[in-house]
Amino acid sequence: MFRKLLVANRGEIALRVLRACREMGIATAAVYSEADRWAHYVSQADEAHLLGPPPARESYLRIDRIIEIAKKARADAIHPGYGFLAENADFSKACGDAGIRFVGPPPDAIRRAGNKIEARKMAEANGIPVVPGLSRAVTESEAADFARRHRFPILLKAAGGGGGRGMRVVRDAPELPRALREASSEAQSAFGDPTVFVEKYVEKPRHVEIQILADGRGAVVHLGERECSIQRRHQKLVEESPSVAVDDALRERMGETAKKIAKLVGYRNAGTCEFLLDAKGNFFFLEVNTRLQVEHPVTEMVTGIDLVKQQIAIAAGERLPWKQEEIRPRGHAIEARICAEDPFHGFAPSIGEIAGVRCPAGPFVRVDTDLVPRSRVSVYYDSMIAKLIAWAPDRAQAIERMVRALREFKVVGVRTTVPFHLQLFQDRRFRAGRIHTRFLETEFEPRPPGGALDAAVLAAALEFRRRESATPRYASPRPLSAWKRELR
Amino acid sequence: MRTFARVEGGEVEIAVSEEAGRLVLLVGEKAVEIALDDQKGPIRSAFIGGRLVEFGWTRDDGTYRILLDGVVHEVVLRDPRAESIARSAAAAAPAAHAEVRAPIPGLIKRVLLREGDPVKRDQAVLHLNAMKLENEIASPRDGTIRSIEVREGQAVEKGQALFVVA
Repeated sequence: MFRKLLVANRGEIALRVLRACREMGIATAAVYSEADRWAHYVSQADEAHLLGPPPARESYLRIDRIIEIAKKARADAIHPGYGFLAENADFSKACGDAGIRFVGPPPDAIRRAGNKIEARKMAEANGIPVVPGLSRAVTESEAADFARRHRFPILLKAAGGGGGRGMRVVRDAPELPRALREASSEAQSAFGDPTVFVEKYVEKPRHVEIQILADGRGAVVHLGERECSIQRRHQKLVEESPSVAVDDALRERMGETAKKIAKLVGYRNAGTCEFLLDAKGNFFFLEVNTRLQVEHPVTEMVTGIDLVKQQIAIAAGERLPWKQEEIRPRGHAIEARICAEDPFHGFAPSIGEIAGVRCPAGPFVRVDTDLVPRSRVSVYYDSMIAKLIAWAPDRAQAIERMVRALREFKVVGVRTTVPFHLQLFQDRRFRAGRIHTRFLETEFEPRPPGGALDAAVLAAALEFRRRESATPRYASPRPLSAWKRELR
Repeated sequence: MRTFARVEGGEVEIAVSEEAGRLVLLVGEKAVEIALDDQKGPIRSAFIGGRLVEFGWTRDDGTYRILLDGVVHEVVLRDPRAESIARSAAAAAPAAHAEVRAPIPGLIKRVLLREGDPVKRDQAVLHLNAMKLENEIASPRDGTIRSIEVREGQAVEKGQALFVVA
């Protein structure tokens, strides 16, 4: 096993990996940008090293700096978390070249699986169903031609993409030039590759993905599915396992397909095969995410398997300890991504200092967050500030538990998506499981919240108390009796 | 204490007084009794009438941000006397130019035009990256770029001036 592991990430996922290392008896090194000097996760590592200025490209994306620090710290493994360098084949290679184990797939598997165009071609060549599309970079006229043949809407996607960046739905011809420009520019800045391809846009599908683990010695298992249909602008907001739309037979077929893909690309470590599932139960392969997913906790909650520890064990050369039939998911888990955004004003980012935070707790509730009082939510990084996960024997109870936990969640200092989730989890259609990837866009609108008058009277009461305590006692025209002071 | 509380586009007048250690608030015609807990931090509880509420709060001068049921309500408290002085001083001339402000906080990714450049309505002037997504910020009218107030790579707050079209 490793002696020391460097976590090349920040925030809640850095903390998640640090916790796994602590439990495994592995020493840890954290890295941080100038903006994260006082972040909570930094204090939870055995040692911490400054990367550089706040912008990611000058800190968390600096492969050279991270390798140099890892060498100096004598780390023998690097975990990339998700985002930043997690799906960067050059980073995986740089780790290998420096004699440091990368906790993730080898560079070749990242290149083959992580490039959406390559993954499509591989699937087509092996009889795995994909959405109709062009498996190559497209120009504006080619995209327009494709749209004429397959009709709008079409979907532009970044070849190197993920997380909705460099992706645009195009509903008619006049939108196309600008959408292509934006997608390409976003792809360049997010992934360093402006290549964009085109697919027919499937209406109202579900997003269902299969978690896989491969030990690189021929053993591959799948850990069931996660449904991530609740999305906004291709960003997942809610994930759950199992999916209401997947029965045992479909799970078996999708799971076996995912394992086949993993073997085809020579996969090793944890990965996720993403699929679209239509209303008739047909599934189409989208891509492989060659990293730990943000939503991995829901799989952990239903399988009891610590995915981060498994990633580290696989990277250290250990074999998978179970056979497929020994993996038996139990109950239902749901995750809500809590973001520093204002759900009542177009999910505009909300930045600022956290004045106070109170996380939910209690039975079968898990909170993955790096927030502590005085944390700063800045424009430099992702807006997700916490993940709230609830488990219960069935979906209905998991939802009730989620609502209970959301009510306990208090974040003071920024606006959050907590009230959005409270409304969503109480929505009848969501509770019935009638969801699809455009559910938020077409069927669900957060209602303007009540409570303004309560807020006004609380503010007035606080102000009254503030002025009173700011007024010197001797100036008070009517001194309070001790009896009254006691009552405060 | 008398104050005007502006919240979510509406405004109410609130008179606060203390009776036997309890706060009585007159909101319009209605009297509400409030008992605040004895905590000091940003997360507190209170009885409003008979209801117990848990709330979060921050204050920035006269602006309170009150967190209730996960929702942040911005409450601006104004002193009626200061208000009347401000009213008499208010006089605004219509602007001869359009100043475009950041609709959301973010990072300036790219600046496409320079001062003195002619610009058409809806033409992109700069790219603003918010968290992950790139947004084109376009000119609201035909004209000339009088000034660009930001540089590439700069972080901007919501409402910060980006450029001026004359």
